Amino acid sequence: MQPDAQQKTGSESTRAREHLANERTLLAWIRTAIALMGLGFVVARFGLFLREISAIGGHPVQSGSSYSAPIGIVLVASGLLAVAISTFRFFQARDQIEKGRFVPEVFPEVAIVLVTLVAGAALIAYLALSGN
Amino acid sequence: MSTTSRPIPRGRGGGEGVRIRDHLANVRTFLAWLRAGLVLLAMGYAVAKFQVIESLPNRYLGVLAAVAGWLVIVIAGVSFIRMRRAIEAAEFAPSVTWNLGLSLLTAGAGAAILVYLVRS
Repeated sequence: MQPDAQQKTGSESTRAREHLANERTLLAWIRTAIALMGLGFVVARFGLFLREISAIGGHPVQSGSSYSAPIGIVLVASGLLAVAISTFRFFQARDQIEKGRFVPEVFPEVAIVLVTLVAGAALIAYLALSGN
Repeated sequence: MSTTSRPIPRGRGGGEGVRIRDHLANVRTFLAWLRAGLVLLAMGYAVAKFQVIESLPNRYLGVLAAVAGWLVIVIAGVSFIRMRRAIEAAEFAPSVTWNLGLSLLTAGAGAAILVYLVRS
């Protein structure tokens, strides 16, 4: 490593811990993205499955049930977006740790919260209002 | 502590390395809260939807769990921003309210499912 980077970020053991913390943060992002994609997949596909089951069972099929597909697609897309943003952020933070000039980001977190809240509100409205 | 040579002398005074790790830990805590909220949302969806034939109590329970998950995600975002500010200003104080709230909420949801499973 470069001696000036060591001087800026403290001792060598501290520098290693910063990078490992950065890596754990990326992994936490990936886990969250997988949870988002999993929920999206279940919402999109399970809604379809339920409609088909109720059609086989002779129960009336509600037209409103088709809302589950777009909600699920938005959730999967937001998971994909989370992977992209967090991977970019991982490399950005990596550089910032090396340079000893860390800027705490707020955009990825706020973006993912807003997208999840909108999709979640749509899901709740769909659950509460659909006649299924 | 020679913090004068550091470019951004913020954080709790443990140096730039501690400040970086504090912020990264804050992000991970936020993500863990977000995941908890997502799982509650998913659980609510499952409870409300698994019953193919209409069952009103199930739907209310499911919607209740989903709303709880939504609120947990709101708490995740708000406390992330507040913690971020607290780390920069070195004013971090461990909070207990939301953590206890989440535990009670999850315990309540588990108890509701248990009662439902035993009675049906």
